[in-house]
Amino acid sequence: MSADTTDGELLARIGRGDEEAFTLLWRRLSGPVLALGRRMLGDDAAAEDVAQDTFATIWRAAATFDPERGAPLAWVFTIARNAARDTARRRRLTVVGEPPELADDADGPSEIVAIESERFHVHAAVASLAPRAREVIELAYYGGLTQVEIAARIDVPLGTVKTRTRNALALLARSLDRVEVR
Amino acid sequence: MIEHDEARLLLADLIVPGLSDPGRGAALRAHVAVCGSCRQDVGELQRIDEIMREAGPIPEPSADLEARVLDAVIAAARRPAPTRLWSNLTALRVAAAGALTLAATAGVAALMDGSGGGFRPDTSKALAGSPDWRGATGTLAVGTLRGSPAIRIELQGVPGPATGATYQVWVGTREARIALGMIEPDSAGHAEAVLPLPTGAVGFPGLWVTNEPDDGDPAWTRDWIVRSTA
Repeated sequence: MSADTTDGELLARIGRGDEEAFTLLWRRLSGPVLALGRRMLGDDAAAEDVAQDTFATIWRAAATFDPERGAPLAWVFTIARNAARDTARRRRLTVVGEPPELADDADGPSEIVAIESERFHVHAAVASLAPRAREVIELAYYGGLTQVEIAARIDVPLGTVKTRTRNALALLARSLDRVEVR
Repeated sequence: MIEHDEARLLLADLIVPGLSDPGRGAALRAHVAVCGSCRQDVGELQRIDEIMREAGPIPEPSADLEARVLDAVIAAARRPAPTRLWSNLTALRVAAAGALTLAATAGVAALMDGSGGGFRPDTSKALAGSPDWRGATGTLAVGTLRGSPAIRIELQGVPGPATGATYQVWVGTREARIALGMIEPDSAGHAEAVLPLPTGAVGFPGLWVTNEPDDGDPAWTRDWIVRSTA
């Protein structure tokens, strides 16, 4: 099992009780799930509840995941979104962007779900990038550094930084093809 | 001029400032202007650029959270397998109202073999936990058991009932509902049940698991532990 193991393969292994696969999926997707929880609930502690509940459900239900009925990331996204809504009820929080009267609606406004699904998929794709590629993308987008500044920061030639950036963005663009909203 | 194969590797240059090499930007833009495939790819890159800026950084889970999740989930998995419920199928609580009431008896009869084997789920959804039962979660699957309508409920994070109390499964509406029977978590807070669904309850609008005194009173307390979000 390695960083190349697909999410679907990890879920299949988790469904058979593979703890190593569960740990790998946690390392891969806990950040995107936490980010989703923070965006939906606006509360760091509540987002941790979302992550905990999401992965507890994944562990429990992975054996029921059917790849013919949807993509692995879409399945995890649905679990995480439901966990966020459940956490909102428990903590009496409002789900950001959802009117309170829709709190019992299983779907919610579809455009919000679609946007969050895209963000989740892109975050998951970033989290799955090779470390060197992820580094340049995060320094560019979240560190606010220019390509020249990134080259100086990580001490590699400018041309290498540019190549890593281009390749990483091309990989991230492909993640949009996998977005499913259920 | 710039060839298509070269251009498609450089499309991100049109999105990220400082990426384009001097003198190449104009040639790249000229190619994209006449190449539909590259224009589409640039559109996807622009969307990625927007999402990256909107979504913000990916948080790193704290070591404490990671330890909590991995310890809790994996420790739970290493405990003995949960026992099936239906150890104590005593009082069938039937709510007062309507046609749903009489159909429950047939469901109970079918339960008496105590086995959920053969259940085939058609749909599945998460059950919402009550704020008063922090940590309680569940899933509800609707399907068939040996060709007849049935549901499967799985609960997590639910402590065993207090002495003199039971946990009841209800379907219907708040005004007209039937009790399908009792569900009993194991020491790990986990319970799983497959329940035949009486004919009159097929397509039920709501499901609740409630905490009830074990006194045979058919009324419910409304102290719900988990419920469907329908």
